Amino acid sequence: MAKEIERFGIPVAVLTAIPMIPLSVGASRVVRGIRVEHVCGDPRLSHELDRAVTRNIVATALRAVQTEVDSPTLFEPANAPASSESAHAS
Amino acid sequence: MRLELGSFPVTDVVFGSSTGWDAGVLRIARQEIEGLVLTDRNISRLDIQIVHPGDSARIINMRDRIEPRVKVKGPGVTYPGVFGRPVTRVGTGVTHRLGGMNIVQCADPSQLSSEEERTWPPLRPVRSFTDMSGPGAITPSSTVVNLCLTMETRRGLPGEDWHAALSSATLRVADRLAETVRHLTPPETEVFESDPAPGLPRVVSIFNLASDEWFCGARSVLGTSVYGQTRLSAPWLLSATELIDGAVYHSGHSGNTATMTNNPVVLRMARSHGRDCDYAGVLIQRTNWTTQAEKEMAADRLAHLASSLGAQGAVLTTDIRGQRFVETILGVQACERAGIKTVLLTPEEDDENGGAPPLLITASEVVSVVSTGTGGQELSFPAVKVVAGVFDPDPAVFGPQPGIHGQYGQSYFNDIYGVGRQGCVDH
Repeated sequence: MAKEIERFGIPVAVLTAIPMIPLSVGASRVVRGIRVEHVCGDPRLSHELDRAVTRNIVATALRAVQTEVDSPTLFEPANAPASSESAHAS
Repeated sequence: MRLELGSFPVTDVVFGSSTGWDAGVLRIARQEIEGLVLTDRNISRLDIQIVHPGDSARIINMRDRIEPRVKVKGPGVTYPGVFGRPVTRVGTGVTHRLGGMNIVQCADPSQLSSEEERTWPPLRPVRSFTDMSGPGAITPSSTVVNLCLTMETRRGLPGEDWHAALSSATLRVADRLAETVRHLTPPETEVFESDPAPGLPRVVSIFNLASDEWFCGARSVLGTSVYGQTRLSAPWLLSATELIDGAVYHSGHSGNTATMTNNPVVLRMARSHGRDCDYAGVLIQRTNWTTQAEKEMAADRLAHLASSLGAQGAVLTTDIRGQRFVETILGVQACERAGIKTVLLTPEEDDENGGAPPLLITASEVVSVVSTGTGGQELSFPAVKVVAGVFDPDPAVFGPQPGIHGQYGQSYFNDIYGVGRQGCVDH
């Protein structure tokens, strides 16, 4: 779907817990999320930290869509707050 | 380790006044079987049907199929660890089996009161229907006599309890039927030895088997288990004879137990042990880890274990579909990088007439692949006279069914282990 949307000139960032899949099918911008069950957040964190995790991932996705790429590229959410999950996924 | 497997061929199953096996005919006393099933008061209704290969019959709501087996000598019980059965390690001594028949556990998931649970993969049937004749007779079920136990439970049972009640009842019947041949001399005996065979190529088989822990929880009884454990874990090492004794219990959408006790990969490799190869055993890789890092860790542990066993070659199977296929490919990659020549045995995705890749993902290390087809059966399925697995069948279920195009989330027979009957039809 990402590739089809991009064919119309709209850049797309794919948020996923398993970057290998979109990268292997040629999605141009892939953002690593937390886990299959909760890609953009972490229910084990406090509300505040969970929100920070989410913001961080969304910010990374926004950065990704503004970045020119010429091949499938993985964007890692940077400066993740203290979360065992995000530490794990990095 | 040494296991003697005594086989008692079953060419027919008939109702009779007592239960027993004689010269290939398994006689069952209907009342006795009813008593064994209905002793659990959670089960409110039972129907018993016998369908044979070649019958104009269709089985629906199949949740599992299992072969009656009993330990005659040696530690443990068959199908260890599930539903309160002892966890003692199996795989040695003498086991007797009733060959050529399956007990088929059938129940309609619409009995579940939770709407959410009705859609849970491990509570769904193995496939929508199985035909015993015609173009649908390409599954292992169509080669054996099937004793179908159609069951209904009392309303309001949670999914976990529903599954436990149905499976325990099926096992009670399996135990009773296997008991009929405990003290008889088997017409056929096969011996499986697993002492190392130095000088021959050292090989392992690797089975990727999904765990449903990620949405059922670690202590769930749902889905595939090894000695009763359904949870995600580091890879297991089992001897072939442990699988023959039922150490892998494989029910629900992901497959069935008879496929694991009669596994074509295990049997072929175990029979070649000491002759063509030195078969070090079966590595069970539990899949459905839910981050890529976890999947990479699991693949690394798998390759490390295979290397530690001295494996030079591996046959690796998948449970295909979705994110689980990532683990399959990472497993091949890790083994190849560890110097283990690895063959991937897998069904294919629909290639959409060349417009899509036959595998969800791949890697440069995946160099040797054997395909078992897409799981489809394009020919239409003719009407049948008998429908088993349901109490009041909708007349439409008897009617002809359209062919099934094998594609993501849709198959007639997902041939994970290369049973191969489909190959004759498709290719």
